[in-house]
Amino acid sequence: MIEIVSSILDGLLIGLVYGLASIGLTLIFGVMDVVNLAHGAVISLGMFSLYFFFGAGLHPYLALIPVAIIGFLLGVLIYQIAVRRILDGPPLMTLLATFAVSMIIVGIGTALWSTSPYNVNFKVQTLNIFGYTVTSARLIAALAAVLVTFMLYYFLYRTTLGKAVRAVSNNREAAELMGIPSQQILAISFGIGTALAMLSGALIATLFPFTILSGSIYELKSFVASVLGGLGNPTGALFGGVILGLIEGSVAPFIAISWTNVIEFVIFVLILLFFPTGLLGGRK
Amino acid sequence: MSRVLELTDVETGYGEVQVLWGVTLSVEENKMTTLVGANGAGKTTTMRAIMGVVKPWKGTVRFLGEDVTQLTPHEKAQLGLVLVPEGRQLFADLSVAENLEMGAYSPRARNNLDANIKRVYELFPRLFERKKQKAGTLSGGEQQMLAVGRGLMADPVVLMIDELSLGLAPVLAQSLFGTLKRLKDEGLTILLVEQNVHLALALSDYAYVLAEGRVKIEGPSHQVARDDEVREAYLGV
Repeated sequence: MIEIVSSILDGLLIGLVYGLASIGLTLIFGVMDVVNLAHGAVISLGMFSLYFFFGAGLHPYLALIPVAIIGFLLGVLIYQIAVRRILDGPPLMTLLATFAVSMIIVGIGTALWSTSPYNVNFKVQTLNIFGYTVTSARLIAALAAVLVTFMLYYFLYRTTLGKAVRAVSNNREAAELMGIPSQQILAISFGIGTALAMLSGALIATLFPFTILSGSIYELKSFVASVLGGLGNPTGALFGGVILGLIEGSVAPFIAISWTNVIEFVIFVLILLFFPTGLLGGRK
Repeated sequence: MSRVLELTDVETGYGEVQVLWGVTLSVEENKMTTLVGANGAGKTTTMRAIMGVVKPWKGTVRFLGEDVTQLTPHEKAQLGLVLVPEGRQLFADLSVAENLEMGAYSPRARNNLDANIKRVYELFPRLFERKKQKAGTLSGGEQQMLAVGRGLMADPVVLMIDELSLGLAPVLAQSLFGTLKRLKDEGLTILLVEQNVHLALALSDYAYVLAEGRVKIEGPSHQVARDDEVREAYLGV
């Protein structure tokens, strides 16, 4: 019994990290209707950034700060180069463009680091909470994910720039008419979405070994989580991530790990059949 | 009297379809100018061309003596050229107060945010009562008040309003026009596009009659209002 509860607790904690990843995806979709297919590649980059900062002697949790900054700058760059000019074109264009970015990142990553697994080795303690054991790394990763989500909400609802992001997301043309430089706001939003993806990758790297291809698994999980919560809705995305984590945690003690994806996607299809706009309701 | 906004031979359209075939008009300081004409005459397109939402193919838009034809909408808004668009175009998921705050996004407007928000709430007490409510949940009349209020927050040098009364009950429309008259009397320069021709001509100082993408007739509003030929040929009233 204790083992099952521990497993569910584990699932809940990792679910919050999935949630952070899917917030990055859903934010970009919500603001500019772009499904960012470079999401997974960026998550992988987050993992490798953490690895190299750690290798350079930085504490892994301190390394999250430069990882977030690099993520933001990378996102702005991707937006300016690959997304900006085709934003008003057919939806397929942005899919192809972000997919191309993904191929470029994974290609360069494979050339530099091969596809063999990397590992961030640092001392991890096991904590005992009411008799249930969790690792400190998992707990800290989950807390970091929650903290970053709070910071995002503070930004979106309490700062002028954040309100401008929501205004542009609501009605880009009206925002322009009110003097809001919408292109700048879109670039910032893409930067934030990318920073969140990199951060989630970095947090995952403190828990599991990874390769340059690992991001794609989490990209899929992000899709499932954000669609579960209603695409374009950040709270929903976090909630969806937690559901995914709980599913994984509950089934892990009983069946082989390779079945979790099957179960996740079956539940995903079922929920979409009965709640087509996600559990918390999405945009439009 | 100075001309704050001048259009010279502006031509534009959407894709292959040309809508404006050389519009020349000007807006004078502290006056209310109106653009009237049948549906499809190009009134909204003229407003959108002034703002740069649709880029002019030919011709120039001058604002405060500067050629602003090629500027983006947000650059024009930051200079004080502000459009309250047709259909309100509010930020539906933002609260009333946030919509007003976003109206004052440009640096020059942000400096006067406190004074302007006080003024808007004084003009539209209903907005003050509902300041925490999401804009999308307001009634039609309140939404139009918010659209005008948000425009005023941008501290306009010229306030352009596209279809103020569209979809509103006559009483509400009357009260909004009352507010507009008050703003005009206080010295605001206004360019109004309005389907209610009688009201528009009664309130404004100068009128342009648009048909088929061109200015057909112009003159002081009271003269245009009396011109039978104008009324029959272009306005259908």
